Amino acid sequence: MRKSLSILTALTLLSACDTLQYDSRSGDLWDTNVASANDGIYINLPFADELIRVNESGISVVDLTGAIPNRLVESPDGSQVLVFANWEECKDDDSDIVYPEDCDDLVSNSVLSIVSDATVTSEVEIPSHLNTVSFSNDGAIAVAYLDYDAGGDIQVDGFADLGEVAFIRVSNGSKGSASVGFSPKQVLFSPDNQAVVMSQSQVVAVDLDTFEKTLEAPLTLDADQAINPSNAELAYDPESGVTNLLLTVEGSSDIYMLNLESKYWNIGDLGAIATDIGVDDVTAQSVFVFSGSSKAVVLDHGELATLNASSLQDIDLEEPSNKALMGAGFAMLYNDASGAVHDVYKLDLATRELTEYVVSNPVSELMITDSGSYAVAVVRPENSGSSDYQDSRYGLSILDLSSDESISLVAQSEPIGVALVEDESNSYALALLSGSDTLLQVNLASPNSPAEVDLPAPPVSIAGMPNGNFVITHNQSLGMVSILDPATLELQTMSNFAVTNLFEQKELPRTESEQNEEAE
Amino acid sequence: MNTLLATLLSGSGNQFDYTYSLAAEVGTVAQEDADWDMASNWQVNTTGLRLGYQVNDNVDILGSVHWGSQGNGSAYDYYYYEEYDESYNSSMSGYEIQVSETLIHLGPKMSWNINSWLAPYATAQGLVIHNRLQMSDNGSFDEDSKTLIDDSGLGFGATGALGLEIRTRPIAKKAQLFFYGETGVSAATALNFSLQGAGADEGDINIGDLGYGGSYFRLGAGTKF
Repeated sequence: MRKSLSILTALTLLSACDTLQYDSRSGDLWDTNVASANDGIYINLPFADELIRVNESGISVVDLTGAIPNRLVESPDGSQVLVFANWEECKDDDSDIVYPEDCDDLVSNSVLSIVSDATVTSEVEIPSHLNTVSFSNDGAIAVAYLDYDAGGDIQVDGFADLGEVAFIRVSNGSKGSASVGFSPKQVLFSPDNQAVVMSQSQVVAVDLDTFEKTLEAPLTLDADQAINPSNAELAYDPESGVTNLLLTVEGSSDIYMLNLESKYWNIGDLGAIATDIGVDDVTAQSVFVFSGSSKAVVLDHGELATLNASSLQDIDLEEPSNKALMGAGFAMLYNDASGAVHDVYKLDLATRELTEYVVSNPVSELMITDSGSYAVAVVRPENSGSSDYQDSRYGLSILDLSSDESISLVAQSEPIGVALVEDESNSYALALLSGSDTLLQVNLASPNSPAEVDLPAPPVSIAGMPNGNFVITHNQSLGMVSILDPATLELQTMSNFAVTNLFEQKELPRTESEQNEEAE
Repeated sequence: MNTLLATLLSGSGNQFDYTYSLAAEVGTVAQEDADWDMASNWQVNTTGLRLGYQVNDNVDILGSVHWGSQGNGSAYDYYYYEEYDESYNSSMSGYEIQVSETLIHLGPKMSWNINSWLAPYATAQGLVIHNRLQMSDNGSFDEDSKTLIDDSGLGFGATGALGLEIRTRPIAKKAQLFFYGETGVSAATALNFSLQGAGADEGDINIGDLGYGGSYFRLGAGTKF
């Protein structure tokens, strides 16, 4: 009897001493920032640490060989998706260590995986702090760099050169890198296959064939002086056939011009601190706008070789514009910073004719249709707390750029996504409103009776796809995306994908030696 | 009280002769998988019935069926509370998960009848587990739900346990009440779930598995007849 009770007690204690395991994961099951490629929608599952592709044939799991995806960027032609990922490596080679939480000496390795047709075609090791990607004009080269304005935590393993820019040939994953100085801010691509990188106090050009630096041009000769570029564009001079870099800097009214062929600087004075630059290749002119001055400045690229005060033509505006959105042969000037400015201007760059549109409320965003027939402004409530019905609400303002007419529509709630699409005869705005299960198709020629498309669930975002369709993400935790054919307004909805491998605990993916073997 | 207990437990000294036993039980087979936290932070006991057939004075064949349900609502709570955490930025509405459990045990029990009212015992039983996993965004698990996961999994295993049974005085020599508690260990294969036909070319997409194993515990009361 005593023996039996002893065994019973021992078993009870043993069962009470089971190792407790907790699921430490948290957050959303899927990331609504999806990447649209030609072969489907790529979706990051941050809870399951998986990458999947969803298309009409179903769900495919992309094998990243244990790497955990962080962020997805589709290539401009939609043929590939670049996946920022990291994989965890245990420096302790004890074979009993299977899961990351078992390892006390865990390090993280950052990679950029290039994915096509749900398969990793190549993988590139990149520094963990690179958080932004730009693509060359032909989409063949991806340039990864650290943009402090991109937000998010900056991850540094050991020591890192924050001025390092990685150049990745998307077709085969070959990589080069260049140190471009402190705080790279913007990358531009010239027609002669160069990447021009703006960083603090200098401009660096890199040949995209060799990934070698071809130019290092300081913005100041005083090493103690920090000059931060604010905006930059490349301007082509049709007379000389030379591409010039136009650069404005923070806190200065100067315009810096760099001839990329002769490598000579020229500096002019815009008369005010520019907030945006627009370049029009049709008329070979550039437009500068200023949040602190009610004017725009036009620069004819033919004057670039002999830049002086007479090369810059002022265009007076009634109210200041801080943004320039370029169409073919014209610029739309607007202000998305001020809560008091309602003016939107169309500046015809061939004739310098200025057309003023007054929209109902301050502008948040402005878009131009591909044909240039219409511009659509998303407007927001007045800051003044006005009791006027329209002033206190979101809306859309439709600007007919042919007739110079404008119509302002009041929205029932905040537009969370607006996209423009055109067919042979009409232009449309596709609008998603917060809290509404309906997509509105607004015919821009007759906007008062929009067509409604019932959505299966409240939307989160809408974005264009390479094939001309649109992808709509929905606020459904288990996953839901819809593909909209703008021609037929038919929806194809796919859901439940966010539970893929939900109950699978990730083992340590690979060892350093395995990684080296793969590399060999 | 003591007198009542002594009266209830006292017997003739001979074992009550019965053929069947039927008992109501509560208990658990431990969930050893951390992924269970998605369904509930704390394991909920299952409840069930146990049927016994006496082979001889020391050996019974036992069969039991237990049912239980692990649900959340916790996912909603989680998101609700996190809305007030400024560091958290969720665009999602939350989801609900429910796992309906059925556990079937079958096996012999060997008793050591110390006297007419007290009998320690040991048992080894085979175990079959069936789980139904359901998930949705709006908490309803029918076809009207905008998102719905509904799949079942099957696991097989065994349980070994030691227990203690206390018997009352037989009632009119036809029935005898008994109470018992037992504890031990269980092991079972994991139950796998998938999205049937959701993969490319109509293949299945793995959701993953939920596992049972570790401590086992039962409390029950019933009658022998």
